[in-house]
Amino acid sequence: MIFSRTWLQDYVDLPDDLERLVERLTLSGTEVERVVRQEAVFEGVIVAEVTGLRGHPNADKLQLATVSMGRSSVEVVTGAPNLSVGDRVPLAPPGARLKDRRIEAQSFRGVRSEGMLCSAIELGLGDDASGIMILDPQARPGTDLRALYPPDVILHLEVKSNRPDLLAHLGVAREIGALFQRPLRPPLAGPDVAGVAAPLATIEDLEGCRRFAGRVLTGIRVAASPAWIQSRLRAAGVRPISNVVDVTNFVMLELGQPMHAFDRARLRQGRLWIRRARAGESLLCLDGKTRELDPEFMVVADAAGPQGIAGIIGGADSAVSEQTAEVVLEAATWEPRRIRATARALGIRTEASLRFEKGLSPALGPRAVERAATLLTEIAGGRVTEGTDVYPNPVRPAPISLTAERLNRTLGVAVPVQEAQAILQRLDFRVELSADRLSVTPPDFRLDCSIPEDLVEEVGRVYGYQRVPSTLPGSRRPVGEIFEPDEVEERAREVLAGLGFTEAVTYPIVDRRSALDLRLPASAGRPALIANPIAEDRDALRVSLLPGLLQALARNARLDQPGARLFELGAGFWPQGGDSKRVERVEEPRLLALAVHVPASDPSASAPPLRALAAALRLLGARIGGRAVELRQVEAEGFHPGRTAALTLEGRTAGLAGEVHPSVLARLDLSGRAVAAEVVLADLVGDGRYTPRAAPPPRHPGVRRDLTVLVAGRLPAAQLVQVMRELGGYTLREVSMLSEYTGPQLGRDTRSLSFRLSYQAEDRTLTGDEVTRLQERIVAGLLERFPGEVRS
Amino acid sequence: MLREIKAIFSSIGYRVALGPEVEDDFFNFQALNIPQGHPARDEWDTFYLQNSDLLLRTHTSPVQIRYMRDHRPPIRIIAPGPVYRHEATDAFHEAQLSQVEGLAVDEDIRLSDLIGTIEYFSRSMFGADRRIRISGDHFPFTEPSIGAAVSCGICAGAGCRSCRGGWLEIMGAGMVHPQVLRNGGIDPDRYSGFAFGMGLDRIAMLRYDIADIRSLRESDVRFLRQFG
Repeated sequence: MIFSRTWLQDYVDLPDDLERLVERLTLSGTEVERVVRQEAVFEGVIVAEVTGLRGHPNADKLQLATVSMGRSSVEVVTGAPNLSVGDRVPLAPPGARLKDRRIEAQSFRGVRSEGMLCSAIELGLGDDASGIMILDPQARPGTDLRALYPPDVILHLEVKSNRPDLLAHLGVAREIGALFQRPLRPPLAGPDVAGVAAPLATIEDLEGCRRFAGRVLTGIRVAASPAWIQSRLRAAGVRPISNVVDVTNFVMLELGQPMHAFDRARLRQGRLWIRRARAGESLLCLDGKTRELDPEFMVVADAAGPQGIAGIIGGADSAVSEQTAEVVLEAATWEPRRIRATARALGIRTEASLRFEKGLSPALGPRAVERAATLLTEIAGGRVTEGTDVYPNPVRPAPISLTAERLNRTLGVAVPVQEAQAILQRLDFRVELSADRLSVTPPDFRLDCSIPEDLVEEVGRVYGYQRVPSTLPGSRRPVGEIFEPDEVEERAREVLAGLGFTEAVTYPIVDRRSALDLRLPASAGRPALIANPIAEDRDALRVSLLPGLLQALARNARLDQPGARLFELGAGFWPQGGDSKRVERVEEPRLLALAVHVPASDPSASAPPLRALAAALRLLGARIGGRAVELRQVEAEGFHPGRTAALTLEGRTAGLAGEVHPSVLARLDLSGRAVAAEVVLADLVGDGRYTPRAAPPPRHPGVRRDLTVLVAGRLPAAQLVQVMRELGGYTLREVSMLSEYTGPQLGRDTRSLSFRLSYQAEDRTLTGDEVTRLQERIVAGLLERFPGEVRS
Repeated sequence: MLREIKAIFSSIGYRVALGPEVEDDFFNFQALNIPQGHPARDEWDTFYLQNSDLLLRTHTSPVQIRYMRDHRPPIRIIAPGPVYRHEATDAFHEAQLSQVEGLAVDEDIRLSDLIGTIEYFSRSMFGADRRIRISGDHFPFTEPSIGAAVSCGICAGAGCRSCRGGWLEIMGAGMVHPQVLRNGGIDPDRYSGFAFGMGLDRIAMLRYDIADIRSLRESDVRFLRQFG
């Protein structure tokens, strides 16, 4: 919201140092977002009184005005239609400056003009170009116009949602007074409607309207407002309209209570009913639009129908016009949720609705009506008559007890109790101090304060948080839970970074159409869908990390970064529920996915990256869970048949690894091939604690032998390794694959696989014969186990 | 970077706690003093699931409640993780963000302890020469509430183009509201606590001078490799 320094100055003496004001306000919790210094665009313009008017001898559309500057008079030529004798007007005499223009005496059709009379737009004081600006009738001729319109400073403040009392100049002035220890000068109140029940209004829905204050003024003369009101409204960004409307806006910006003024002559039976709208009702609003009303909306109605949508916008029919002589002022307290729902349903937000949504204090209503009535008697000739205040369930702030000890212990700084008392009193809290205990009653406009902690905040933010020391908490405490490092994911990151993978973070909200492209068999067969998606292609929670990661590969390929090697750690979302549609619960396994792009597209290109992927998973299994990972060939949706394996640990399936099916890549427009894997991290980790067990280093040398076999068909190498391990017994320490070869001389469907086997015994040096016998036993075993498939 | 944040808090006795990203209304809102009808709950802020009462958490604060219900004081945790906001994506806003939540509950926890913790973290994270600035703020689940800013690394707090006035906001924080302690099963007459929440992306932007937050999510390897 925007605030005028000039206006604030009406209620409190502001510090001269603007930067200090900005800083203190910001630190106290009301951030100053922007400071705009207005600059006067005129110089040397003075107030003049029109003392005579006559026609121009040579031009029908021009007039000659004699204007008095106090001691002297001059004659000027003007084309404006709106002048009367006695008006105070701005005169730019020769030598004055308007924006970039210097005024000189000049002749119009043979008559010399000693300067010019100015419109509001020429002075930068408004957007009215239709005539000369008419000034306050009290302005003394000869006065520099800058004294009437001093350059203002506009403060843009971010008011927190718990402080609707700061959506008003008086509220901010009070805050400044508290921060700088300066007294507040509240505006004078007028006649008192509080507690007056006249048959002016009836509240039919007390849930929607907590209080309704009203006042009737007769003998109103609708005209332009005086300059001081117009300039304040303009500074706050509100366009002046007429004295009655301006007063309601002025009071809203002064006290924070939105108001409305009805032309009483237009109200059937001259009184109001506060009720829900009825089905089928509609209202032609002030902005010229007709709106259909819903029974959830509150309306202010006369005997015939709605005359305003409560808290949002008034009706056109009963609006104040130039003919209005009798006015009904309204200041009500509306239920914030209803106002918010109505504003949303109608798609409009007004200055009024923004305030009501925050939950205004019912105490403001009568105060606003009194203030507006007083102003209208002063500037619009009104006489105050009937008043009303319907407030069936009054709220009264209860006293809150706060001890000095509690205040100081919560803040961690010793604030003298008298200082705390003074701070609260400057904020208009009533404080009784006995010994070290404060009994504090918040003012009726501070509904946000109800517990001692609220008072601690008031004292703390005005006292200044920068005066609170920096300490660290610490106390003698029992040994509770033991230290458990959260490092499974960090270890996975380390392993994968070491293998040249880059970590990616993709969006968990995905397109439901691709959400199931690839997924673990354990996952739910459907994604959880978003009820209110932000975009059509972001309407589901991911089931697997792989679709997103493959998109990332494709994006990198498009960005001329083919061959990306990515991994991601994150949650998958597996909906659970009784029937097929309902989502009762969502399981959120932590997943680890890897994806590697292979730019080449020949059929054998994916073999080396697949082996590297398997090696990476084995290393992860060993480093994270301390367990051996086994790969067993399977078929899975989205993966290439024959080039896909299930990843198992101790017999349980933990994930999938393999080559991505070409049809998936085609949808992503990714050329070449891709290999990918996904595992449920918890299954890889086991009990979550990987602790290597120390074994003494071998004392006897080992022996290495290579073994090459020819394999027909699709028999996976992993199965061969398993048999080798079984037959090699404990002396066979390691089996690693050396190479895979296919070629024309081997024939179709035949591969040559080479392995390196490492033998070692703990108690002796192995002899060559011993190893040869083992090696022969393994070869014989392979031939026997896989007849027709393995040749040595 | 999260690793660094974890290391900093680990050095003063914090452990990591995690919570679900799909939450229910109670933990995400009601238990945190955000009743039905509160502006923050309006649909434009929250993603809801279809055919379900569940929603995507809008902050990491539900972890506070879950942890308090399962553990007795003294409590010192940080809770990192993704959160979701129903907002259009632009250079400064993302529908999905990463937050780090902090919670300390013990006998005699004071606001000065919170301010000291923020100072310890900020200077460890951004450099020992940085200063912090604490201002008033408002959150439904803390009372008093504060906001913390760190002095700009480029102009050292004098004000320059990239910082708007010398200070860069890094987190919201405050003393845990007594009702929130109660909702976590903790007696506010015996214990007090503080909580803080920061956007990881915001910290990363400040730390690495990232101009557009979306870069963090596009998985462009040329961008990602800069951070190892």
